Amino acid sequence: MLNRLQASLIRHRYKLAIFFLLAGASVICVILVAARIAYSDSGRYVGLVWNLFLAWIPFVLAYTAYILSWRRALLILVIPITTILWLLFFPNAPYILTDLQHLAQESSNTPLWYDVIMLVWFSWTGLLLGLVSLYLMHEIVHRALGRIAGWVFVFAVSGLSSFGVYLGRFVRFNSWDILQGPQEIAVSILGMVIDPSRRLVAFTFLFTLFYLFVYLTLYSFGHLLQEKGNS
Amino acid sequence: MYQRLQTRFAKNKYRLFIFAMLSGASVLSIALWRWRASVTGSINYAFLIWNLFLAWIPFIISYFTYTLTLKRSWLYILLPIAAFLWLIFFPNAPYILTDFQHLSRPAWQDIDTWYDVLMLMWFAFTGLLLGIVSLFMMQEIIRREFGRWIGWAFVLLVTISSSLGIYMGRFLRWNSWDILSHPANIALFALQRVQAPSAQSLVFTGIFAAFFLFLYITLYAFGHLLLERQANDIQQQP
Repeated sequence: MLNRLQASLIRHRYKLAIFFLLAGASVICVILVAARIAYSDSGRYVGLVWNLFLAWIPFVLAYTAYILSWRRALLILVIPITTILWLLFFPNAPYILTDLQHLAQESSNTPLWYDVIMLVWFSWTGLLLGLVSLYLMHEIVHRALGRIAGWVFVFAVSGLSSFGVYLGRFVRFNSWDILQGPQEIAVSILGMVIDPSRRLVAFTFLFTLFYLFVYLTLYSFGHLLQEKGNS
Repeated sequence: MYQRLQTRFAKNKYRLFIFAMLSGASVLSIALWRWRASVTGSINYAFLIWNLFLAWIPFIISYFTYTLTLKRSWLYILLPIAAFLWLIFFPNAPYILTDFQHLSRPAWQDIDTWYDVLMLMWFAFTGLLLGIVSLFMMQEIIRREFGRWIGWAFVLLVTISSSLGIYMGRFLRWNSWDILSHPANIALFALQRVQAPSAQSLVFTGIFAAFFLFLYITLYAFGHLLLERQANDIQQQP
């Protein structure tokens, strides 16, 4: 029993390492906000903590789905449910990047460089939570349906989630709105898709490209380590 | 001849792919700026292109060094010079992250804020990834020659010194090449600053170094996640 636990710990040590690194980074992010509040006595940027919490949801879902999907019997049951939930919450992870725009509103009570570095911490933690969870889902799809389906999944999710970020940032929708009033949401989204504004097209397109660029670069960076392993 | 080229290409395909991705991202970043300039008629943020160019220098140095040092005879001549030059220019890559601060300039808000945020994201993340990949290549050279622990000690050292370098660039407005043109002045001044560091420099350097180290280790572990998958695949097949 203990032996088996140890073996599985070793086998999954990098996954666990990433989990702890991201948890540690989140703690640092929260400390940075707490220090800012203590220093400036203003509650600005508290919203970031909530956004970071939301960014953890898809990560936890993907992590659970990944572990459960090793049993083939569970796969068919678990995958559809977690995938839908995951897809709903996934845009929250890259969403934090758009919080950088708060820098444009002046605040005189803390040095600017502190806000910049704090937002950089938050945005990268959120982005990495998203990338790793996308990778885990990519793996599940890859294993169940093959390589091409896996990449189609990644491209589709990048596009959809960028649109999701747009909906969150400009239309102020939340992930759970779809559970409360699915019909209204569907109608308003359909309206936007049929007659898209220029902002919608430009934002979604640039964000999708950005996300794919980061994902693909990190994916091949991972393989660079593999090349090293071979030599 | 042709076949040799092909096998070499296949062997280094991920490195070449990263190179192509980063080049593409740089072109797109510049295109985003061009578009901004043509819409607003202003040249705000033009320095981003210069900063991105500077971020490429350490990447190119490490790319060449990495390829050349595969031949052992080159190593001892090339490595000290290349490592020194690389170290001077390295802070330029993560430096672009600090350019986010320009978002707060009211005079530069002549286009929708979201556009500037996206544009800065493209520039800053391209720069940062250039830095990460080039640091990895340098770490590899060191690891190959001197072992694993010295490789990681090198990463730690570079993280701390480059965070200091970013501080000097951002707050003291020094450039990489100042160290070549007035080495004595810089050394003297740096010594004074180290003896009596300001709270600002300590906090900035500390948080930035922690950030860079976190990012690097996470990406390193992420890379090994892919390796883990391969190992597990092999294990599953009886």
